[in-house]
Amino acid sequence: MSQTAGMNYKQCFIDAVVAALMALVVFGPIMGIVLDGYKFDIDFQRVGWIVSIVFVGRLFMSYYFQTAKGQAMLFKYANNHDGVTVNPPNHKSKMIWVIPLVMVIGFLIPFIASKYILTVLILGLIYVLLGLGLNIVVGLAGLLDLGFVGFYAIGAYSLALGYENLGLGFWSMLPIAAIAAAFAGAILGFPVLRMHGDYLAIVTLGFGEIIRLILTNWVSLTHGPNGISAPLPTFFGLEFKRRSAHGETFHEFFNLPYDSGYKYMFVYLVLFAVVWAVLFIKHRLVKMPIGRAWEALREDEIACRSLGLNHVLVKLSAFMLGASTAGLAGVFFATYQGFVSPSSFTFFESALILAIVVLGGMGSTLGVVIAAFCLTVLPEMLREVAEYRVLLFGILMVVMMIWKPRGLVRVTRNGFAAREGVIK
Amino acid sequence: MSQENILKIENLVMHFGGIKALNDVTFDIKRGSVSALIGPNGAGKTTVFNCITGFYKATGGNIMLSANGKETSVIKVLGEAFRLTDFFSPIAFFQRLKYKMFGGSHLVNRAGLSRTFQNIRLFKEMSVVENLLVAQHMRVNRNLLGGILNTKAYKQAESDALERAFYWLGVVDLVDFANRLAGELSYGQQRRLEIARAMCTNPEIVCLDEPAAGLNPSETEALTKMIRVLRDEHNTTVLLIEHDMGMVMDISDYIVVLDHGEVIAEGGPDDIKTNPKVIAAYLGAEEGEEMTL
Repeated sequence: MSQTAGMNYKQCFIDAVVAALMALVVFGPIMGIVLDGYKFDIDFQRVGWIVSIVFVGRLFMSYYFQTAKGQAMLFKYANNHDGVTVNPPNHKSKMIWVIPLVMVIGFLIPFIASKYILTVLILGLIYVLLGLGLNIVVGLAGLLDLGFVGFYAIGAYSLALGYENLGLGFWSMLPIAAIAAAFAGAILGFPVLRMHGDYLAIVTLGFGEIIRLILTNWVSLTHGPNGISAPLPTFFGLEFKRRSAHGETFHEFFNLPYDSGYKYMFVYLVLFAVVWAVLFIKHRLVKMPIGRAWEALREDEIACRSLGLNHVLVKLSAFMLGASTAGLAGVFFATYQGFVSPSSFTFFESALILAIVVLGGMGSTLGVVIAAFCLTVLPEMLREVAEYRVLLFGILMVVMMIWKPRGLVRVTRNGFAAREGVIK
Repeated sequence: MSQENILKIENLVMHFGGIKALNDVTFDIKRGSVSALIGPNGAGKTTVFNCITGFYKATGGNIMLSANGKETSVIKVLGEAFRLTDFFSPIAFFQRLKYKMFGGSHLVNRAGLSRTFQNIRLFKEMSVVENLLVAQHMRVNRNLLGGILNTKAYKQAESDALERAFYWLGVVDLVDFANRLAGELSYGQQRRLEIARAMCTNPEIVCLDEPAAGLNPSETEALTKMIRVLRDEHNTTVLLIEHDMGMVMDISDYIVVLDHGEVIAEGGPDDIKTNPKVIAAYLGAEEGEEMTL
């Protein structure tokens, strides 16, 4: 390229100085001032290191983007905004090989992995469910929902309250909680789904907070901030406790020594099966008339109405199905923790789930699964730098918005083979 | 059906705040005709269209659509305010409540009227075929369980829908673009796709809002042929708004001229061409002056 003829060192230097100054402003107060009782010490060394790293990094970056290679890279990314592609009709997805492999590995993991890894994976799978649910609402139907955690809370509390007040266990509450969450979605959805965009986002944000406040303040039912305990799942009526008041326990029945890991193994396996079932249903839904209607609604609501689609019912179905998935996730969360309290269902959770969907790519199932694991498993692996978790989260978001604004995984659409047209 | 008129518009009035967009518009559209609605800019043509298709709720008047073997009042299905008499007759009350809660312009489409838009409104990030499949939403198998389990009835319904989609792609000459994104098509192709999409809802009357806007002369020619195909082979009534006078005079059986929210003339193309009021409205000439279009 012709611009690369002369390397603009002055520009490089200016860029680097500006970046270093910004780093000084951002990190100076955060890392330079260390509180010590009522006094504070000033730590120039750490700030100096950070600022010099930023300076050198920016210098190299500017230099690199002026070379031919860097230019080519910039050009490639600048023209990468056409996110959606249509597959040819006879396209065979590579997933056919990947899915059975992941299934087998996922099935074998609980028998190999330690209890700690298992709990992290359970959390990851719960967020996969939440991401898939929100992906229907935000990714497919295009309704920005900031109160998704409300449905998650309804699922979790359904299990706990159903056990306490009605004596229903995990297996009966699993479908009931999904239905309860879907029902809550319908109640919220019917009046508000005539709104669009920002207005809808604010109403749903309010809904999430209302649910949390009800759970906190309705002390006679929910025990308020103290929370309630939730039951564990049973294996054909066998409990996973050390000893049970009613009948045999799992380890007694199979003559095994007691191990608290069994319950996590079982929760993991059930959750794993449920996630695959949800993935399958989701995969079918996007190909079905209802999935097409959701996406059409995201693209153009007025055109949808002109084609005879009842936009309120289409939105409501997306809202209810998304909510019921969150309800399922809530049940697993409650049973895995053995305890639920309102503090688990703050706005930060909603933001995290939304980040999963945005990061994964709106409407992309694979992207959401990967993003859910990234955002839940990575923080566990990076426990040493836990203080900088939110900083890393922010950096990740900024980098994504620059390099992959449409999400990790490109959305592809199925092609249809041409056929003879017939009208009946 | 026996009735001669598919669409009857009586005393249609539409006010936006203090602006009177339409005062007392009355005209009928004959079944199986190609009719055009013309008039200078700001005459209220698109407002009439939006009232007919249920996107605006008319301030007053009556719009009756007789298609699919029944009479539909467009204003009623959009949901009207309750009247005193409703509180004495539960049936009328619940019907009005039903339309208030679930009514809307989609019911006008289901009654047999479909439309296109002046500024094209396709589903840009969906493929061309999918655009046509969405339009058949009311005709396919929408059973959730059937779809998830991929039953025989579901597969058959989807296959029928695809066949219809490819039929209409053939009519508008877009079969080669079936698996492209709708947003990638050229302007003329997008206009044709929008007409195909409107036809996929199986309407008896299709309303085209400036179908020839932005097309070159040969594309306009092809469009004219296509509109004739819709009328002659599919027994579809066509109502169109158009500024291309050559095309309007060429294909219309009946023309309604609007100006300042009122019908100033209606009749066949030959009558309209020589009507002094129409000429005055278009060219701003004083009445009585001799001029021809």
